[in-house]
Amino acid sequence: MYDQLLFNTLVSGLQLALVAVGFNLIFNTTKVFHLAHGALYVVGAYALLQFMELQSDIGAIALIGSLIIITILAVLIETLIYQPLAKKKSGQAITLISSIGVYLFMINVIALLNGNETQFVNPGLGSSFSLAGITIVPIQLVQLITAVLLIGGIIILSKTKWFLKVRAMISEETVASVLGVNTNAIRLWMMVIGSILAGIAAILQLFDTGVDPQRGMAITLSAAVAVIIGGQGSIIGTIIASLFIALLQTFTEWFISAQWKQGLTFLLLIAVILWGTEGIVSFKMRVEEK
Amino acid sequence: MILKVEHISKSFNGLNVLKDVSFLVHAGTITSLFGENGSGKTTLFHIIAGFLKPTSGNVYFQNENLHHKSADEIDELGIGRTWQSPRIFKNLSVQDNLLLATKDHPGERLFNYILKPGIIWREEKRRKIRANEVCGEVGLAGKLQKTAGALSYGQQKLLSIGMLLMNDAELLLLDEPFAGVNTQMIDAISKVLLQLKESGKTVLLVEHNRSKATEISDKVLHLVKGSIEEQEFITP
Amino acid sequence: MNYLLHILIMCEIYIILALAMNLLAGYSGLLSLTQAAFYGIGAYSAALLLTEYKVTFFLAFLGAVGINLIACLPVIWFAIRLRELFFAIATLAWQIIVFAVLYNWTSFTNGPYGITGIPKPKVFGLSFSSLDSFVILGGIITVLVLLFFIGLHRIPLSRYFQGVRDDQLAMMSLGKKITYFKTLSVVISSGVSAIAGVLFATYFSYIDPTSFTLDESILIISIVLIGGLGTIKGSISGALFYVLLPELLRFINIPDAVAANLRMMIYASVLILVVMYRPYGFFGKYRFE
Repeated sequence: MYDQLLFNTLVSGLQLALVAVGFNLIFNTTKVFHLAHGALYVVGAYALLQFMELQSDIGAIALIGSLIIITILAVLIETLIYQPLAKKKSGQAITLISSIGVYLFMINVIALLNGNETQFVNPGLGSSFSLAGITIVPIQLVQLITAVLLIGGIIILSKTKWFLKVRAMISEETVASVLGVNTNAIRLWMMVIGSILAGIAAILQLFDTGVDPQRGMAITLSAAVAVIIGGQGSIIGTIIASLFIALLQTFTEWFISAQWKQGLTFLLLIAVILWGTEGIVSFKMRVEEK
Repeated sequence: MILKVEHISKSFNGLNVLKDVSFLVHAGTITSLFGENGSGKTTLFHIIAGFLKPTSGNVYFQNENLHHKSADEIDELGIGRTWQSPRIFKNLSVQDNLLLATKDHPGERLFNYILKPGIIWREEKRRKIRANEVCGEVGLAGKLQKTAGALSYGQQKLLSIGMLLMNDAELLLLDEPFAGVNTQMIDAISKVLLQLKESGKTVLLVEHNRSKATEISDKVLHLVKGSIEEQEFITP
Repeated sequence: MNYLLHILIMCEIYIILALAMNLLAGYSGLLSLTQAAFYGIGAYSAALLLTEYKVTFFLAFLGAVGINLIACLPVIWFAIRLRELFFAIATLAWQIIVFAVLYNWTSFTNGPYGITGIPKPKVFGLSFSSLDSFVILGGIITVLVLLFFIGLHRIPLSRYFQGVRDDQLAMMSLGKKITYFKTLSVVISSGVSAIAGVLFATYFSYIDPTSFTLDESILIISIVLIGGLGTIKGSISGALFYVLLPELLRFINIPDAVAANLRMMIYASVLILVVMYRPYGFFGKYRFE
């Protein structure tokens, strides 16, 4: 039985990792606590649904179309809202609130157009099968492979020369821009890449157990916890933390109840805040000893 | 003699920023500390104010060793400091800023409102009178009710000096009091500093504007690469 | 007519919540995402005291406020030292945890089924079960809360809250204990939110956890941002705007199925516009930087 749980955890953990790595890239470059990530996640699934209504099978066109829509929305959010606020040197409280506003707006548009029920699409991959005593639903394999490919891609990306500029921007933005790094372009790239990762996770979820408008916030919150406890700068940290949270959630669901998943995830966050923080505790004045 | 800096040295990770700095500051005088960027003057300033601990050496204020004291204990002893950019409360009035700066107002504790409201009211009145006086002393007469954020930069600097006075600071450590303001304001600030000296306060300031600071100083210290070359002026 | 009275009661409840939130965000500079949790704990405390322990309304009222004064302690414990964004995240975490408890601790709170049969208030022998009398009771309570805050913002203590809001570092170098003032703000805000919870519980006679979610917390912070931080007028106008907006929509004959979403879309747009172009909101005196 544990094998089964662990396998499920691996799959769901990597899905969470997709969303979390996306959140990581966006949060670290724009410094916005981008709760609207949840909205773009949901957009991914619902855009696909719309395309499928126009053309009744799941084609590459529908997929690409959804990704284009996500890209457009991500660019709009960044250029119309986050960047102007950054120019005004707005603090993270303000950008958080703006992100919440964007989230609320977009989620309500989606609910307006599609209702609040869970939407599910049968991927038509056949029924589940057994392998080494574990029951596998075919979509899980797709999720696994997609996640590994995408996350692998991001890790490879993070080793490139170009990404050095991203790192420079993350640690010292003003210095980086003085040195000629195009911070605005990087922000856009990260918003787009991050949002696409989330959108793809949502699409996969659509074929798994379905998506409803509220799911975006739930998974974004878990993703945010993963980013925070994984150590903000680290992509690998985010991935490991995502797997850990997925583990926590799977076992919670199995042994306690599904409803406690979020609560325990956030208890974990609080535990980490209390016992292992750096950079999030109030003031270090510019002094070294006290 | 009110401040004795004795053999202060400071290194950060092997870099010697301050090397055996010693000097005296006498009560009722204005002393200026000059130095290029990197000379260590800001570090020295922070050490005296209690925001940094020296690697070795001692600082004595009125014969009390400041060695293990935290910034607010040092503040308690009568040393006040200003910051390069005036740290004032932008959304509060000048009066509120001055009142906030006072120590041990009974109105700070919630229970006092229940147990001794009369004392709170009385203290409030007394301090408001003092705030009015200080307001005049720093050249902000008539501006008590103005929102601090609406003051000019120079006026904010005057306000921050005023806040030190509300605390009955005896030694005022001023971080670049003349920076970023026009000549009129520089004169206004100089006037205030001279008046403070007149009333027995001691001023130690760090400055880039050497000419003006020298004009009003009793003693000038030059810090070069962490060590002092001292000069003394006697003001007429 | 009944509908108008219902609107009035909702205004009363949200004015109280807005005033409580304003103390935290507008006067102390703390962006709290856990107000709905305080509100909910207050409502549940009152509901349980009234239904399980059958105490009088007056005692339930005091009990709810009292419980809230203590129930906010964990927030104070782990959140108060955190800077800006992380304080918000920590309060968000608390909100989620409290909701999880309300929803899942079924033996105590009855979980998603909620608590029914909450009796209407009886004070000094007078029963406030009719709609008009409830509006009056709510009105009296709201006015008292309003007077409390007007008073709170005139005493010297308010200066210290605002100092913490404007420049924590300066407060520290003036030797002031900022933790004390932040704690006080959270405790008072929590206690006052309980009052709104009591009104909610006794008005609807039924409560369940879905009224006290993160969404509700987000709404409460939006109310004070749109109305304006740091002024009483701001809190009142923000609350009225939120309650009355859907009524305006009614005049244009929007079908009900669409109305709820449309209302939130308008509300979210106003929030974004306020954040970007009018950070002081309607009547604010302070803005988040």
